[in-house]
Amino acid sequence: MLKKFLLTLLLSSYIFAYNVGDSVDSTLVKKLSLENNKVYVLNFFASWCRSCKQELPIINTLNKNNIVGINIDKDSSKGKQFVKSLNLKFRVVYDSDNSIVKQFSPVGVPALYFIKNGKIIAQKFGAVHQVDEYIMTTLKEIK
Amino acid sequence: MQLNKLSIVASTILLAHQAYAEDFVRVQYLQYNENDNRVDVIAPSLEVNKDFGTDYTLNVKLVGDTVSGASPTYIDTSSGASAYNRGVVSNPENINKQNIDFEEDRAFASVGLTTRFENRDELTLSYSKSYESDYDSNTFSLNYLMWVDESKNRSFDITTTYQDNTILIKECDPFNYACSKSDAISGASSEQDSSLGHVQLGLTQIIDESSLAKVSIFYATEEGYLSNQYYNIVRNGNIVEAEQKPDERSSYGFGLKYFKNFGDLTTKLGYGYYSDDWEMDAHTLTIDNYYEVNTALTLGFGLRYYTQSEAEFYSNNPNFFTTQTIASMDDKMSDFDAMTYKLSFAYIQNEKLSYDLGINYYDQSTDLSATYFSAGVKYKF
Amino acid sequence: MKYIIATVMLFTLSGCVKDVSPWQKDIHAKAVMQEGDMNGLNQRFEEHIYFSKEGTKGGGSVSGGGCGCN
Repeated sequence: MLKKFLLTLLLSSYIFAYNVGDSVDSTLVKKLSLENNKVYVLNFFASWCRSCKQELPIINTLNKNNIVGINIDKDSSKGKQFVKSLNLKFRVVYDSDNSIVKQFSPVGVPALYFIKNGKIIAQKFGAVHQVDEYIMTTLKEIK
Repeated sequence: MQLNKLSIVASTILLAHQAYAEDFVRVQYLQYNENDNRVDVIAPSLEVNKDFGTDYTLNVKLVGDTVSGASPTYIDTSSGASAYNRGVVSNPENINKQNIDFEEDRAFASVGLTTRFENRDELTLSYSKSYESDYDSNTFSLNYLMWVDESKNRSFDITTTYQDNTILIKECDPFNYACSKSDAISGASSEQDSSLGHVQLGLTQIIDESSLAKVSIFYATEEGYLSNQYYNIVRNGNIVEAEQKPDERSSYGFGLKYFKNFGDLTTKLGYGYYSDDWEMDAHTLTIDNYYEVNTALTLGFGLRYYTQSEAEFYSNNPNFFTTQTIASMDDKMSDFDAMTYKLSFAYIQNEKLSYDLGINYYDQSTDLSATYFSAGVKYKF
Repeated sequence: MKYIIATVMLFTLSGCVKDVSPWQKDIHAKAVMQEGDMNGLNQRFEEHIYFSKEGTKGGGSVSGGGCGCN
């Protein structure tokens, strides 16, 4: 009984979380419009997350073509207002039912995932000082 | 005038705390009035908080205040109202508790820097200085916040504080043992020091999506001149002399807090226990509620109940003290209860500008009661 | 220390603690859920009144909580 409980506990916290090396579910790839042979940077953020507010204007200065923002506000109008106030130029997907973020299950917000050919190549949770440099360096390493 | 006279600039002991990562300037006006016009305080203040990237937050506070009024102590009323009317009084009927007038300008400044590490643990270092003509206080404080689990649902924190105070004893009288020293520059008769060390361990646990609990324990030790130079005692019913509290004090206690959000309403409950080697025990119960009327307006209403037992060297009876060296008639050392009734309004005008108002009423079971009021404007940049 | 250990044990053993995910922290991010009053200066002023008018002092705010996203 105890073993079963512990196993369930372990599985519930880890089995559904994406990790480096995992392939992203094909429906999710479609939902996020991720093309093959292209490297994407997924950034999970929320309007209530202060370090996201610090990072996003910096991410906004990078090449917008391979960045996809995923707003996790339950109230998407708050997310939209937030995106508008920061004048974000990259594509933003609104995940108000949190179905996307639940599949990735990052252990912290903000969260960055680097995806190539539908596969997670690198990930980073929590705020990053000089996030632009971090993204550029990681992209170089991937290519 | 230091210590017991209400001084919002004299440092509270815990200074370093988790920084709110946000760029803002706050200007605030504070006013405090005691019943019977005993003490009035007017204090304008300025606070600036600035983030440097995601890893550093700087906080600076400046407060200036003007205090005027009167504070009660036992004196020889036959020779005018001064706390220095001490000595043997031939007619004990002339020993009365009377208000001593005073007026003081003070200044306070603090600076705190928070650093966040790669694992997002935080270190906050603070320094503050409080200055008035007879009181100079310097406080150093360090807070380390350590996240225990990956999801950041549990954290430990440790706060250590060291405070060094210099007190200038301004006048001389035959009963003041420190009279022999003199300070020509400040005009003070003598200089006294006191220091305080304080350490607190805390644990914060997120319970579910809308509630959390906090537990803490602390230990503090003070030494040096812990008396108040303006406070007198009566000995044998006919001698007025300066009070003398012990020159050491150690205390410990614990705190419990529970915060719960019910949609528009957020309730915060708190309990604190305190005990020291002056044989004083205290209990504090708090409840604070915040009601978010809409996205712009938040109303706050709260209650605080405080009770303490008296210090072993306290008496309010002019015939009590005979040969005791350590003796105080300071009401702060007595057995009393106090209630605070709190009301606040916070209004967000737009993304940049917000206002707040606070009105509190404080009522002690001694004869002290006070009303205080604050009005602030915050500008986010 | 024993109180802290006791509380950790209490939380853990009673099973009343939920593993709240990062995307579920919107309520914890609210200003009203932070330690202290709605603004730091008011809290400081209030603490000082107690410091000046009451005979005991010690203990203070505890960090932690919030959205954990700083």
